[in-house]
Amino acid sequence: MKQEQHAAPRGETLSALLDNEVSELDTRRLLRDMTDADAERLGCWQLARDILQRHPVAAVPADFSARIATALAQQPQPRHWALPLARLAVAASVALATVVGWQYWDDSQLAGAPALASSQRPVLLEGHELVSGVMHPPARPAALTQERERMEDMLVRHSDFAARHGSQSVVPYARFISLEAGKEQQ
Amino acid sequence: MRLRLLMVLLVGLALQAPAEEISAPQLLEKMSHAARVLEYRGRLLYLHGSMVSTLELLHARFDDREHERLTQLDGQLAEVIRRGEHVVCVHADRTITRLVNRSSVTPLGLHERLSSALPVQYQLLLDGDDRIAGRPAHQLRLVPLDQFRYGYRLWTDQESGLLLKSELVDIDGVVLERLEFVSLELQPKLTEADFEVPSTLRERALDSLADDAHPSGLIALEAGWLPEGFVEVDRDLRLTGGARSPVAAATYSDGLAAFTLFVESLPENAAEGTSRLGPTLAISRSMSADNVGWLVTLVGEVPALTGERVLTNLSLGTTHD
Repeated sequence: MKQEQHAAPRGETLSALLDNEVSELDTRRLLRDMTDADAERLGCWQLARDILQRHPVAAVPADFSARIATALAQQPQPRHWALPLARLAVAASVALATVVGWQYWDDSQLAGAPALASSQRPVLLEGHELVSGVMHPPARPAALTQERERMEDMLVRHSDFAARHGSQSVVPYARFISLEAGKEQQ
Repeated sequence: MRLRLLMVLLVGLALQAPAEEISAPQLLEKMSHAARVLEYRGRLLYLHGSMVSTLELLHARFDDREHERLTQLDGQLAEVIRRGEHVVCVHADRTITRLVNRSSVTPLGLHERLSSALPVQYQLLLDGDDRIAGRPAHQLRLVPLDQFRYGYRLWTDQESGLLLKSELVDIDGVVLERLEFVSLELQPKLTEADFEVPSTLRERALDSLADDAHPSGLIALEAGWLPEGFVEVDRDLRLTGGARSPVAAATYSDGLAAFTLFVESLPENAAEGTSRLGPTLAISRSMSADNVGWLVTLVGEVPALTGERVLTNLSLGTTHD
């Protein structure tokens, strides 16, 4: 039970699973307790990552924000300012995939993910087709959190520099916050 | 500051008279000025790729210090609170990062720079009128004259001069990101309590160090090539990341776009490679100076071509003093 208390937030654990950063014991526990929502999330994240790795940049549809603005205008309560859930989930996963993906994004990854070490396979694939083929080779086990904080700090510092020296004061912060919020969105 | 505010209001009033034609550079100057001086609250959409976020922005001045709060409204709470030179980032996991700026560099120069000398690498065009967040807006375009930087489309409020909508556009005309107000309230009567930092689980301060506190602060970045117009505008050395390791940073800007070079001791299994975070490019490369290995990471809103070329032509030297 002690282990449960110290467990990371669920989203983080799931994303760690996606990156093959959890121990075998934790993996079994995760897979055992996985809800449909968790499974869907995991699928979404991976889908987004796959898309991203082939198409790192996507265009914003020309009328996208106009449509959202219209939708927003029709909503009486600010708390209902939301897109359909599915779209939000995908949006969140894009940010997550992008941030987490940094350390894996080299040329070989863009050309096609290297084969998974066979010893890693059975544990994660057991009875879960959903996550088949989703694992990246663990670059450095347990280094993910540290790596993420390192990147976050770089983004914070760059955003701060850019906000003070660039032309659009608030835009760099908006960039940073959106990536932040997207990371563990449910 | 009072005087400035008055001036902005007067310019605002003058604009009501249709006879007064305002030029594109004047609009830019007014925009830059208004964003820092006025008190406002608004809701914004931020989009890149298929991702969209709703944000709330508060801005005011107390004791002549700028206060700004940008809060994510959907999904996990994340926000940036800026009070003068203090910047606090509240992360989605309820931890916060604190950052205090050395006061040596002020943003003061910017609007003067924009009005007197817009970077020559851009062409500024006035695109006529539009309407954003229910407010009449002027539409501007900043077109880059080479392929080393992105272009901008800007919409400014005809009444206040505030930036209402902003798009970053690549050379093919693809919109890389968009930030726009969907509602804006001027003079919302904010108080300092509106900019209080929430209680959090854990803090990490990006403590600033003297340049000579760590060898990475003494590394000289020798840029063999920079896109025309880019100059170093700021640098510092801070303890960062979970490992609290010292990382040096230097930011380069052409007045509109910016990228930052980070230099740190080469970690074990250093991750080299190129990636994108929304419109932000990130490239890591290992390099050496005096046979010591360093990891250099470029982070910025510039095309991959630019980032690659800067890093390819970058060399590291050690300054001894």
